[in-house]
Amino acid sequence: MSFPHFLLLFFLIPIPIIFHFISKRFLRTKDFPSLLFVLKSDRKLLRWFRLRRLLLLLLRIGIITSLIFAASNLLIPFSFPDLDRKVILDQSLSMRERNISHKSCVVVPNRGGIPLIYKAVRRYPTGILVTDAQRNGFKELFIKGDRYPGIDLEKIPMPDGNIGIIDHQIGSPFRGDKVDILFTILNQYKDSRNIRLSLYIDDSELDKKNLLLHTGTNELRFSIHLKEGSHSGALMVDDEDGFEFDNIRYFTLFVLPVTKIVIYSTRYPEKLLAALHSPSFQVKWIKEQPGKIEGDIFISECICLDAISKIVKDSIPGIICISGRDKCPYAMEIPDRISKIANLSGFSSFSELQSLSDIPIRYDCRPTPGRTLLYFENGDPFLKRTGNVLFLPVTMEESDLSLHPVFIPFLYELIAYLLKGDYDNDILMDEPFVIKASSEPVVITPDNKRYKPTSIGDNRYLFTQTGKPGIYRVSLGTSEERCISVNPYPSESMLDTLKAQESANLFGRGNYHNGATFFLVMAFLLYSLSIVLERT
Amino acid sequence: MDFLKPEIIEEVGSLNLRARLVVEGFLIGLHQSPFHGFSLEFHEHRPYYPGDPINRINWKLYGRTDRYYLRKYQAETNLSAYLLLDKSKSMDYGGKITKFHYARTLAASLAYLLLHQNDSVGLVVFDRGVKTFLPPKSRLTHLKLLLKDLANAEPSEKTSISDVIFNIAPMIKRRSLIIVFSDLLEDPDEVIRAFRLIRVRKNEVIVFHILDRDEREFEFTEQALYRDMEDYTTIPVNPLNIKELYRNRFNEFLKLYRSGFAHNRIDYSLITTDTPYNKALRKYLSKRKRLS
Repeated sequence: MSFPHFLLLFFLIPIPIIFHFISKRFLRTKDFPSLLFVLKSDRKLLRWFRLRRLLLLLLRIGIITSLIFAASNLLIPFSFPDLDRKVILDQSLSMRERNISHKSCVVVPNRGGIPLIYKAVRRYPTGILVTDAQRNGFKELFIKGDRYPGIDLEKIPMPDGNIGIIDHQIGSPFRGDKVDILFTILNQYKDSRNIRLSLYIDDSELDKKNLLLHTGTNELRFSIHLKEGSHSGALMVDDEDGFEFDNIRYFTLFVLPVTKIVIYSTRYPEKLLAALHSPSFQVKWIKEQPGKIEGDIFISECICLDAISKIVKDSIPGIICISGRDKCPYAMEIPDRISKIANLSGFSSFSELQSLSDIPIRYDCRPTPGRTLLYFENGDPFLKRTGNVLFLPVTMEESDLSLHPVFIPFLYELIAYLLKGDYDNDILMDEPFVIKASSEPVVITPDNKRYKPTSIGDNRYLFTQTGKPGIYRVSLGTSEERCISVNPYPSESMLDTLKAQESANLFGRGNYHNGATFFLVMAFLLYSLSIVLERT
Repeated sequence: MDFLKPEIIEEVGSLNLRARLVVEGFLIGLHQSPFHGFSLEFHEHRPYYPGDPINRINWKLYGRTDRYYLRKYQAETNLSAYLLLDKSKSMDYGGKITKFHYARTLAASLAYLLLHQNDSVGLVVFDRGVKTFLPPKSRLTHLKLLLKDLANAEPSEKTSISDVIFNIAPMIKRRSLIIVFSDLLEDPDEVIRAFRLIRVRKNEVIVFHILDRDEREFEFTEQALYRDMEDYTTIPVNPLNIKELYRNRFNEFLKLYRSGFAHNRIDYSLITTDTPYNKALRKYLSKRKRLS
């Protein structure tokens, strides 16, 4: 029932009853000798006249009742509701942080958004859904609440829009290079907004910027010099849209030390040497296959993976294996494919690696050997990982990859990826992270609580309690420390709307009928019936 | 003959004058004397002479004797007539001229006519019972008394024609002409059964069924509380909805009377209150001629 206050109109119901009893007084009395004489001969007819008056009274009461129910949007259940109904509580961040001055609705925030609520409501017969309905796609529900009969809406004023940082990417942080950090900022207002941003690294403000945000997604790049080692930071937006949680974006980065790279090639690897000509790298070219390699990265050309000895595999963090046509089933097609990727790339403000970055390298970097890391747009594998070996099934001679502008950043990405190891340091809320440590680590959450992660064997530990955004610090026993940033899901910031089918599924239109329509039709039918009856 | 229209006749205050006006006016219109040949009592036959009206030739006798004979009536023999006037409340319906006013004027006119024919005329005014009973007399002075009773009668109470007929039937000693003025708003079967009793006693009956045009047409449009004039029961009715039904039922009601009276050889005239009196009288005279 959406508008129960309309039920107050029930005081109108006595009107036809009163009219029924006093109508005779308003009618002119006409003496006429033969009408009743004629009608008296037909008692059934006279009885029908009296019954008709009573029926008309009932119909008029019915019409008024139907109209009142229609106005109050009374829900009509067409099936017996399930007695075992769940109360679903929206634990999204906004429930906690939207208005800090109010008492918190939930203690433990969880990631929200439409998918979670939708899933929960679909799973359980929902009695009450408690949600602030902010950026969860309920805007339409609140504007047009009558479309969803049976829901008592307590309307919360919706903002016109929202500004939030929804994503960030960090370039290859090699020593001596500037580190590129690209933030994606969402402006959902209808007009452009001027905002002030502050970048914090290791708890100190590093940079400030004023930015004109256009409607939609905006990108903001910072290029900063940082020392070697692990860093954590955050970008903060000063806005007053009421949503605090997406006004800060946490990130971590690790500036790599000088990387030692060994290239094994029987021919002069001029393209690779040229690409890796940087103060960040110490490159060594060898012609003979080594038994043991001193270095960080080993790039081997035209050899089979099996040919790399276990000693080599164990002694070096990363191996890039560049295969020839005869070693790889995809090699015959790859030059064209590479060109295709290259053509798609276009100009990008982020190391000109936009198209390759779009391909989900990061999301597939799970500690599972044999995983495909990079795909073509049709789903074919482009880059595979076997253990700590990256398999690139293309040679420099056979493809145009090395000629393309994306090649050098791509190669740097590969090296950085291998050096970073298996684990991602930037995750979203509720995503677990794995810690590789020889002794039991301790995780310090943003609110300075200490947790011991669960051991999953092989010197690996799993931590799952990432329900709060912020920087999680992992103490590895010695002075070594690892930082992990946890950010909300981008869907939290989206003020999108429910689709019609989602609304229907969510609010059980299968079991309930729109009361307004039903009672309007009912009122019309009763009215038609009364007209017919009056003329009978 | 416009002056014989009911609304004009009603302008005349005295019932006596009204009756006289109707009858004299009517007779002027006929261009012939009413004072012959209307007796009911047959006297003898006489041979036909050229110039005699051929409608009085006894054709049956001609069939037997092959000669023309005319019926001859006893001119001095009085016809005994009873005027039965219904003064029930339902007769009070109408605009300027109610059914009762019309019936009263018509009865007075017939009394005037009959008395001037040397017939004896009696009067019975009734509703649910006999209210006034004047035995038939042929003296012209009787007219004054008769008209006085007619003038004094006012509509009231319910009607019960059948009871009245059953009551007065024993009082009618000799063969008489019974002329009834009523709206007959009663069970037709009962009424016809009562009249059949009179007919069995060799009496002649003429029924003037007096109705208002509204009762026949039912051309109302305004929704109203319709009240029965005799038992005062009410019913809210939208005339537009019930018009067809009413007309059908009313026509069935009239049809019952028409067929019932015809079956019993009772002369039946349906007259609405806007019918000029001369037409009603002509209807009477023509039928009387046929009866004689």
